[in-house]
Amino acid sequence: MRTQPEAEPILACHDVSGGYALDAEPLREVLKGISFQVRAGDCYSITGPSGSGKSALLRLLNRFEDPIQGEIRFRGAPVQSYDPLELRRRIALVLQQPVMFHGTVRENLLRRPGGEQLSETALGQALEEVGLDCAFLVRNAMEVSGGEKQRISIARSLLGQPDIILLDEPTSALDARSLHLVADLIGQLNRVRGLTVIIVTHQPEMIHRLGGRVLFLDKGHIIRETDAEEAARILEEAQ
Amino acid sequence: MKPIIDVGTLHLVLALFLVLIVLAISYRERLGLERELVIATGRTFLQLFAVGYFLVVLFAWDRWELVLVTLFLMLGAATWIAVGRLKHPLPGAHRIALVSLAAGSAITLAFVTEVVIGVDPWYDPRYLIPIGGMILGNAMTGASLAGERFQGELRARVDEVETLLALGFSGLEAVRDLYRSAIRAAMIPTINAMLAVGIVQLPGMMTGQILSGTSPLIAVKYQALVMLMITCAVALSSFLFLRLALRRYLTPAHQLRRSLIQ
Repeated sequence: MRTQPEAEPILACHDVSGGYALDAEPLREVLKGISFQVRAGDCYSITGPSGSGKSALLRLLNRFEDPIQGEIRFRGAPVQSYDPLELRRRIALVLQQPVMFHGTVRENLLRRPGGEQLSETALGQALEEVGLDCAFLVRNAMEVSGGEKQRISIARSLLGQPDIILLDEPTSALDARSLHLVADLIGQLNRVRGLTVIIVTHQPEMIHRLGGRVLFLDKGHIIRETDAEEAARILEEAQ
Repeated sequence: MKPIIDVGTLHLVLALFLVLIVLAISYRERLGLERELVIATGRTFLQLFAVGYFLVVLFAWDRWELVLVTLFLMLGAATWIAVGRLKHPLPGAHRIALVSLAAGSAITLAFVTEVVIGVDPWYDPRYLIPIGGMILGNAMTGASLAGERFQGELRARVDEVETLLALGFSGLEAVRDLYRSAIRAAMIPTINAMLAVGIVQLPGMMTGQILSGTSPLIAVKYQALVMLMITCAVALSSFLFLRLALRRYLTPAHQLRRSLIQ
């Protein structure tokens, strides 16, 4: 009997070592022998103690850094074979601290590489997709709340029509209500829009709400890969 | 016209009375500056007389090889000092400073002495050494100010730069605001000096020329030339310094070298 071939992973790490722990002084390389595969539409959470290499792993995936050893493939080709600027539009990274530039929310959303023009409708849709009203377009971006900043920065990344979105602890600095809003938003982007999500988080509630697969990192190694329910339970027990 | 009064040894000894006043203030107010002041006064005399005698010899020998060697020594010292002023290490900083100061200063010096003034012979040390010194000194300050400001901005705004990189901006686009701010920081003292020149005080070179008997109108023309050449040398050197430094901070794959920012 002929078996159905498995879908090609959208992103795959093969025996990857390298990456910097940015919170370490001096900088030190952290990741060792990382291998995992993500299929289109998957939701992957990466969790582990501080300094275990979670953020370092995300920074390798969008080529903020290059691995010392091993290979990362996007859509079957090594990430180095892509134009790095195009790769970063395809694999969007949302940083832990959302950065807003001086000006209105509209001006922030319009800050696009290559002077890319966007219609008012596109901007409004991007805001709606992250649960914000069109009226936000004229708000001063520096004066919105932390949770709103994070949602605007996600909207800004979505405007590049990425295939994958990487989120580095997007709710670590938010209150419980904002956490729920952002977690639900990320879940919708994954389930409704079909966007592949890879998120670094240490919050069991976030993992539980998102579902999908979970990678546990410790001292630069993957020590466990499991489903969200079991992972949330393990994290809650550890807390 | 009255003859110029030469400042003799006795005059200089008399001028030391001014240092005694400063020493008295330092002693009375317990500023603790006495030792430094005595050393600084000694070094002022020593360094100025050393350079004075050196220039006398250089002018007397009048050889292009010696003029070039002197300019290269000045360039080496300016490079060393400019790098020393950077608050954070930058790999290859000496090479970057050497190239940017050499290029920025050489272009300006050659234009001023050979095209504008038309020095004859081309290496006349009476022109090349003092003008070269002024250009190099200001280029050095400009490049180090630009470098220091850029390093500071990059540390303070690293998240902003990485946000732009993550959106797909090139490395140069991502640091453009920081880079502009650094060049402005290097240029502002020079532009301010241009705005204030002659209003509050007469610049050192012009004062020196007038005191040594040159007509104020000739001194003014030289001073205007000096202001323009300093502006050009500062702009060129700080621009080149930053463009070369950016190659250290950013990889060809538009990655920010975080190891240089820690």
